[in-house]
Amino acid sequence: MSTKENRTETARLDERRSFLIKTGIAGGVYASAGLLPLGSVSYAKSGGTLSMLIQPEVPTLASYMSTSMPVGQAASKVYDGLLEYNFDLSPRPCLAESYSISKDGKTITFKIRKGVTFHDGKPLTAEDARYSIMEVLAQIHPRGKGNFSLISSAEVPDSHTLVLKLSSPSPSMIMAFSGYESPILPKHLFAGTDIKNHPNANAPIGTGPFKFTEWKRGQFIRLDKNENYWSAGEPKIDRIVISTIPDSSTRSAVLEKGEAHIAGFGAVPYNDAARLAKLPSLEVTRQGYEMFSPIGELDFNTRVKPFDDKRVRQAISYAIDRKFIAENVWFGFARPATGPISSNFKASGLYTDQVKRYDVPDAMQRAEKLLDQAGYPKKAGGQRMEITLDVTPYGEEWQRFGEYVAQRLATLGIKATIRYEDVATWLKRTYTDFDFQVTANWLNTFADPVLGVHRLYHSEEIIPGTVFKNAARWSSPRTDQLMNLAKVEPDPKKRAAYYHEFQKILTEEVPVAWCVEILFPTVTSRKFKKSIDSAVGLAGNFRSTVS
Amino acid sequence: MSASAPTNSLSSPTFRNLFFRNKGASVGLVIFLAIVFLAVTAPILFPFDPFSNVGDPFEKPFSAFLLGTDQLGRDVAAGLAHGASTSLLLALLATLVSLFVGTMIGCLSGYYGGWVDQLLMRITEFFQTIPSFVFAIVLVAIMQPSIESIVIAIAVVTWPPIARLVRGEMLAIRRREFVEACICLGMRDAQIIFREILPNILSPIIVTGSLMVATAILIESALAFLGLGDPNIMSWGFMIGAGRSFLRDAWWLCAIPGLAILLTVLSINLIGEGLNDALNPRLRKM
Repeated sequence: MSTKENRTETARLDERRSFLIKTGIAGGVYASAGLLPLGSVSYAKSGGTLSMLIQPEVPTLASYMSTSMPVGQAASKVYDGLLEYNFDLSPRPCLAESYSISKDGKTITFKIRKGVTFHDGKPLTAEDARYSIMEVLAQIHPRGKGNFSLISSAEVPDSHTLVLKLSSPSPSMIMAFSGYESPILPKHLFAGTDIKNHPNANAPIGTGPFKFTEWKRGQFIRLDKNENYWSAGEPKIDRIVISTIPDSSTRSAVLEKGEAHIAGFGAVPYNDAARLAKLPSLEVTRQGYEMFSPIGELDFNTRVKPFDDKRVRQAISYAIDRKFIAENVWFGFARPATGPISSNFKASGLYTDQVKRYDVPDAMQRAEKLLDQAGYPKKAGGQRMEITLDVTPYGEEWQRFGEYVAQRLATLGIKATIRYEDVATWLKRTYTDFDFQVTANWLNTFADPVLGVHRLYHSEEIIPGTVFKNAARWSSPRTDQLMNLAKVEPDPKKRAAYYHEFQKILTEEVPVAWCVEILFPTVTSRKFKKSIDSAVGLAGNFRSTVS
Repeated sequence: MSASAPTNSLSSPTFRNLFFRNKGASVGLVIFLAIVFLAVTAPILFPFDPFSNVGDPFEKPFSAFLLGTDQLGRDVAAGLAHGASTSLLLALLATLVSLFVGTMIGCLSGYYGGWVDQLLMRITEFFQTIPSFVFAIVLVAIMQPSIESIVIAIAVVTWPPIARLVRGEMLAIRRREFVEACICLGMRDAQIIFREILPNILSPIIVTGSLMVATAILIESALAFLGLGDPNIMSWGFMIGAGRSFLRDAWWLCAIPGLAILLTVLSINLIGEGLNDALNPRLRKM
């Protein structure tokens, strides 16, 4: 079936639905109310086909060995995880009905839901969960080692209980059980096989609300409703068709015309999202990225001149008008950042804005003064120094960001020469050779500072050749200590206190000038609601999507 | 001048008449001079960095700013003026390099013939078989975008036609009596090539070269459009590339530099036509 035919089919379904609505029996009303009595048949018919755009095209559907966002967006509908997460990052049940953490924080017990079956009809047991976590994810998932390294043993006392024993408390571990991060695989299909080249890698069989049906490479992935899903009445739609359109303006146009219903995470350019948000047929949300919480920033090389002097780093941090960037470079799909931990951690208490702030009214004067003190006075012609500003090769907004920063620095008397390189060269320069002065960058905080923040500031994370680590080569005994303490502290209050001190020290030292918390836009057709219902957003399972 | 055959010197009295007899050429020259004037006066008209944020974002043309502002509040008119000098300078430089390389190779190839010709022409063909714009992209991407890499990339992809043209002309003249006379006089090869033959084939080179300036502007703009321009230098291609996302909301960001490229390329082509008329009168009669 070609994409075109596919679209016609979608259109037909839409017609049928609008017919139903016109004739007074609005299928959508029942669906959104979660009611099923009046003929679940007609309801099932009007479930509709959701057309989703992912970008770029996926090379694999084996989300158990990839952290790629498009892969996650596709496979998460098929593979459920033990837990789901609310927007405030609090866990809620999925395949695990409940969980408990012992007082000392060293035992996590999951009660696995009964009556759940895989798409091949075999029942799900705690052994599947144990196998997936211990023998697949902890071994071959790119973040699996980091997520689960503290598990000393996993036990299955009965067929629906999983007990994880930890060598030390790990408060961040409970955040790693989403279907995107830790998909639960069928042991009976995978055990004893070559997992990396498994036939089901690209024909996934999970317990999720949608069954994998077909993947026409280069065209579409088709997922159909799992009639035996554990949650009664879910999923509410019949089918998800996932496709890729390489050109961004075409993607926007297709969404605008209603030929595709949902796309996000960089698939829709920020300025287009701002325009699409004004259309009555579309809805644009900033939610669903809490699990990623990306921060756009400037990384200083704290070991080379002039950025080995914190006054120079502070001056540059002062020079950046974060509000302007959020509004004009990210078109409102960003908010000013205050420090290394995203404000998405406000609910969990880990975030604090009681830190040294750089968004003060007299920021520029302070910056000038700091540069004078640091020994970089304005020379004839008003210039203080020349630096090279590397720009993340990740798209247009980064070029604009670089140009904007260069201009702000120019007003301070710092001549910044912008350097754009290809991704490989830039990664090598930043993370292997440390051959840079200051570079734009963006990094995910992820579901817990242990996962996303420690890697950027811990001295043990200065690992030449490993990307997305401590490129600033910042290190201080106290911040290392705070991170070590917070990593194993089960008491949320004490843990928050460690992180608050951590944020205070770092904002004073500014090894990184945090600029914006990026809020990706997700564009959804108003025909389909409730797709984005968890902190992983598009990588959620869409079980509550309703048309 | 030395013992030589008919030449169409630039100083010939008929040159001006022939050039201006072509109405298009006159118009082209006027437009081109206006653009050159804009480029030269850019630092006086807009004595600031064209990247600087001077106003609110997306100001419409003819409001606070003559041609409006872009996404970051940068003055489009300033960008246009500063971009004019970038585009012209780059194109001129690239064309000169390309002409130099192409002429050298063409001369050697055509004059010496034999294995030299074989070797040089195979090399030329090698360059010609690669689609020129794709080749330019690859070169700039490898060398990292900067003025030098862009000039080199444009020169590398544009010299082969010149080499072939010069070689052809060279072959035609190589066997003429005046060349053989030079050889009999014992003149060195370099003297014969550059003092005797080259002046005779200058006119087609000039015409091709003039058109090549237009090609170079287009290549530079296309590279900048794709984000492969020098990120620290304002150019028309950069303006279009940065503005294309806003085609529906802020048409002037693409339309104005686009128009500038159109006019410049058109004017250069018109001038090229005029030069052709003036330098190759025989062709014109046909």
